[in-house]
Amino acid sequence: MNIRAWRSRILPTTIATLALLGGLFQSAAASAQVRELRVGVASHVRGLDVQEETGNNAAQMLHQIFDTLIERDNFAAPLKFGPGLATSWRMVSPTTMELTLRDGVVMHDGTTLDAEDVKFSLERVIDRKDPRYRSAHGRFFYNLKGVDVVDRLTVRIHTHRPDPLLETLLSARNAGITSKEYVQKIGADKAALLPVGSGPYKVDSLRPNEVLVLSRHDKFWGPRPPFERITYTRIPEVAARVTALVNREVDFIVNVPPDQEGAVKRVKGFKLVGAPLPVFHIWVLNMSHPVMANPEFRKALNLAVDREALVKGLWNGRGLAPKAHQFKEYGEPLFMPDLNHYRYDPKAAQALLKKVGYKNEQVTITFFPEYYLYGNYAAVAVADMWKKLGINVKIQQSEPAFSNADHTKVMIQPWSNPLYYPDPMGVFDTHWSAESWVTKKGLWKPDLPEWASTYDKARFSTDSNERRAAYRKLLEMGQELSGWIVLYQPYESFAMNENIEWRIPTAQRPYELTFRAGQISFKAK
Amino acid sequence: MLHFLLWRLGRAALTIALVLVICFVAVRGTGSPVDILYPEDGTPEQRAELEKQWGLDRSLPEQFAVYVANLARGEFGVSIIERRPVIDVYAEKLAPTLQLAGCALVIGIAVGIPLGVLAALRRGRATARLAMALAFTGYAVPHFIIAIVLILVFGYHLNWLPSTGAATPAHYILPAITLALPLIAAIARYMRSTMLDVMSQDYVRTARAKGVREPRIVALHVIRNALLPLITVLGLEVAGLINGSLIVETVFSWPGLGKVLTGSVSRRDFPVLQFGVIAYSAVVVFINLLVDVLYSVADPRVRVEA
Amino acid sequence: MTTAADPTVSRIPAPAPAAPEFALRRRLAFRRMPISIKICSLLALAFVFTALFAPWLTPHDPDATQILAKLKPPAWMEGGEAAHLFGTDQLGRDLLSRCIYGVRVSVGLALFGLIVGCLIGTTLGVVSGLLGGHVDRAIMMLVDVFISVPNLLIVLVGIAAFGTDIVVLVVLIGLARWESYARIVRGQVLQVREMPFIEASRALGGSHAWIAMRHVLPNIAGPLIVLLTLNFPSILLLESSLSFLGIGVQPPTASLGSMVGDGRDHLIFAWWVAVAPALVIVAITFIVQMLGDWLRDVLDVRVDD
Repeated sequence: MNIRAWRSRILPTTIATLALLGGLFQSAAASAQVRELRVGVASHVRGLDVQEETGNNAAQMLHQIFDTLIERDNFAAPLKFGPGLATSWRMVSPTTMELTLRDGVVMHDGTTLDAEDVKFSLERVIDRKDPRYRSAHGRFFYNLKGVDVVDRLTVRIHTHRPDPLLETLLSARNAGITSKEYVQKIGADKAALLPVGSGPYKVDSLRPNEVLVLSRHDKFWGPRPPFERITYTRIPEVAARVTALVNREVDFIVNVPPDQEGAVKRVKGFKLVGAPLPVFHIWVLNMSHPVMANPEFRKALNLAVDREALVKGLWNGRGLAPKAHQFKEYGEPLFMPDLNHYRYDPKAAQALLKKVGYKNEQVTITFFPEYYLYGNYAAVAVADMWKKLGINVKIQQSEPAFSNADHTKVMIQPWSNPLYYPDPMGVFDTHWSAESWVTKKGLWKPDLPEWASTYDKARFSTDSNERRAAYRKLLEMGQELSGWIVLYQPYESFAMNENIEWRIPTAQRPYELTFRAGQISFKAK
Repeated sequence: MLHFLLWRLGRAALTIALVLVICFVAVRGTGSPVDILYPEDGTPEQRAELEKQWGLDRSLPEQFAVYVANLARGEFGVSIIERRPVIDVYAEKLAPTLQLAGCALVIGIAVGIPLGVLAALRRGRATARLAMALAFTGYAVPHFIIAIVLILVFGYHLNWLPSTGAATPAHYILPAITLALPLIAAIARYMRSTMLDVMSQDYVRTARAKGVREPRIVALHVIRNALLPLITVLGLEVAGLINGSLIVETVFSWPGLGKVLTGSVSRRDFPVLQFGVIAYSAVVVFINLLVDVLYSVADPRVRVEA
Repeated sequence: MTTAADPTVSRIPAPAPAAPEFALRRRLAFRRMPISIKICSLLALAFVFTALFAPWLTPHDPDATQILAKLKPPAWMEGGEAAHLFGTDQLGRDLLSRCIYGVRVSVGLALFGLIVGCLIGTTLGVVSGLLGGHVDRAIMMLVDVFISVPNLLIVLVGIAAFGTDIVVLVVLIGLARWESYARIVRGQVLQVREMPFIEASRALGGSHAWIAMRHVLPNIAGPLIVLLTLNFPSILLLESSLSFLGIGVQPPTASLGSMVGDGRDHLIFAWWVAVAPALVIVAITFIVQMLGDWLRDVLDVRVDD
């Protein structure tokens, strides 16, 4: 072998082979265009049990597979409800709702939906026996008391207390209905890997954390969905995800960070759909930690965070710097545009530090590397802002499990507050209630005398004016306590073939993808 | 020969057993899967119940005894996270990993050996230096950077090659090249130095003096003799190959073991991690065993001394 | 277990014990080096100098963020500023300053890691070679065990158990290659042990430890140095692999690996963020490799890498 041989024979052969294989691949990619939607996701799921998976990852998929009793208009604020698996519903007493089920709904296992399926799906959460449903219970369904089967197509859902949010909760995707026969036959573990619902797409196969294949459910009760197949492939690296789209290996990708949007924009044939999501990236200030015990000190930390700079710098101006712990997605009057709690005022912060007699105690910011986009950068940037005020800051990288083992030692840890349903309680009750882990573990100690009674009104009052007033007061007290620092609302960008018409469903929880009939379509070229 | 083989087999078995024990103890020092599965909640009773369900409440020797007894029955446990048999997880993902590593190995040998030979024969010339410098770059740049640059060049800019998954033969090209680059560098370097060694040996000089033509010398004596020690190095390099695939697979969304193994550590999925480590070490031990046996066939002195 | 069963070890020829020390020293003298090695050693010195005096060399505070001036290109490109020669990163930190500090952290980490691994490996190798018998067998068994588990997994499990403290990183990174030293050193010890002068000192009543210190260590110094230079790149890369997995050196501390890891998302538009530290890694690795090859020739040792 010599260099001439290399040049004259091997190199051309190699290039020819590469080009040939490349050609094969491109024709394969072109032929895969028929009525299939290929989605590239940043993180995937280990299973799809509709009552178990309350996280962001499963939200990308569950909407396609499972129906809820009551469905929501995807965009209305305040919420608008419509029939789902239930065709009608009414309150027969303040704590009992009676629902009439749709007749002849064929589920993915071939069985027909009946009242027993509804009872089974919801009661496995209500009875609190299985730890896997604890998250759904604490977040959504703790006020549900039980489900009674009246007849084959009638159920009664009982609550502990009259609940102004019952329709909202029952239309959350985690209230989706699965097949009792199926789950009881093969067990919840296996059912999570090949779940059965009644939605327009059924699961063909799931390789956990890798790829999910859905196909059209031909006996779906509603309008025929636009695709024959949907695949969700996990592509964790941003560069690889963008390349997969541009290369036409997938049609739709999630999570394009703001400073990568240009990589999609400069290629013809693709577009971006994005918005600031109703999610707060926040830091929990551990109120039980001696250094963090003084509310004035926590307020000083809060005042020293320049949210506008974070949004401009980290998110290229695309995120939102909130003024209070609330989202416009509630719709007014519950959303109160006049609230202005979060100010950046380093001078006031300095004065507070002096007042509390800060003596260079070390403040440690813990962050979890893969917890959310830019979490690490936010920690570094805010640490730098605090350092400028003479605060002694340290950054500590950790796994979520670590901090969990000993919460009392962590001073500041990251958390996200997504709006699980478009109501103040969709973000407040799901994170800062007395049942929440931050409260139970003492990180959050709302020790103001009026807190509990005000909270109760904000959650359960059926008088909407009273609810609003109570909520306002809660936010004001929360600001007094300063138990958390809201950093910003992140910006989420989806990129897709330009002929796809799709909008972010603002009335669903963040990260929910909606691919049913009428929710996504192809524009004729 | 038989004696050597038996002795060598025994040692291999002992190695795997030791790996099992150390791994079993070590992973249990990293915390509990409860914290990962239910990070935000859980009363002490609920924690205790879960740990009981997974058998983590017993003493370490007890847990180990149960695990080994199950292994003997061919049961490898159930994944704590995915809640399905560990063997199912691996059955799905072992083949893609081995195929990719195999491709990389073939590329590594097919490119590395000629490159090393070339570098030795043309020692000191610009072409040889260039070849070695190129090989070297593959050795010094982090895997994930090579992977992303290849994806951007051949996928994003040229649209020639696919970047994610393992659907078609074309999907193998980029990840296999990424994984092969450091291997090419290692093999080429090694080949070059053994070639130079052999070329200075007496029998080569003798052959040359006898008027045997140079290409024949190179083909008959030098390369053949230089290839032999390479076998050993390859055995060790295969270990490095699988190390690299842990990262390369993640970047290319390869449906293999890489993410399963790294994920099982971060999620404390003990049964998955244990099986992965044992399977991996079994592969490495087996390859080294094979290398030793091959070597002893080629070079009987080894056997005698054993 | 015998030497020969482990072919990698058996094929290492004996070091040249006869070479008088002054001759060796002369061969290592600067003026006798080939020009390429002269350049490399000067560059190596420059890197060491950089690492040691980083605080006085950096134009900016490496950790000072300026998030409104992020991803500025290098000075010679359009939009670049003279104040930031290599441009700025995702948080507007000066890349040149971070590279300089990165050399300090990464090279420091790698060096200490090497020392830890080398100390453990050498000690066990010497003990194994000198004592022989069951001790030898046990230690070699441990070597076998370590070879057959992926380095990266060992480090991952270690970090999961002990956290990402810098000391933990050093120890784990060191542990990742200890077995290579143990094997080489043991092989060398076995060869040196048979030499007449060791027999003589044993006959004169020398203890094991004394024999090791006095005779064996100087003889294995050559192969060890070579092996250290060979292991150096893989240790630098291990550090960057950890950063890729999000568990490397703690931010905001700059390390070359974490800089490359963070910069990888910006390769399309702001390639310099990843390329600058990557080039530094390549340069350091290249220099160390060249010096290692040269040492290998001069000291006349063969070590299988």
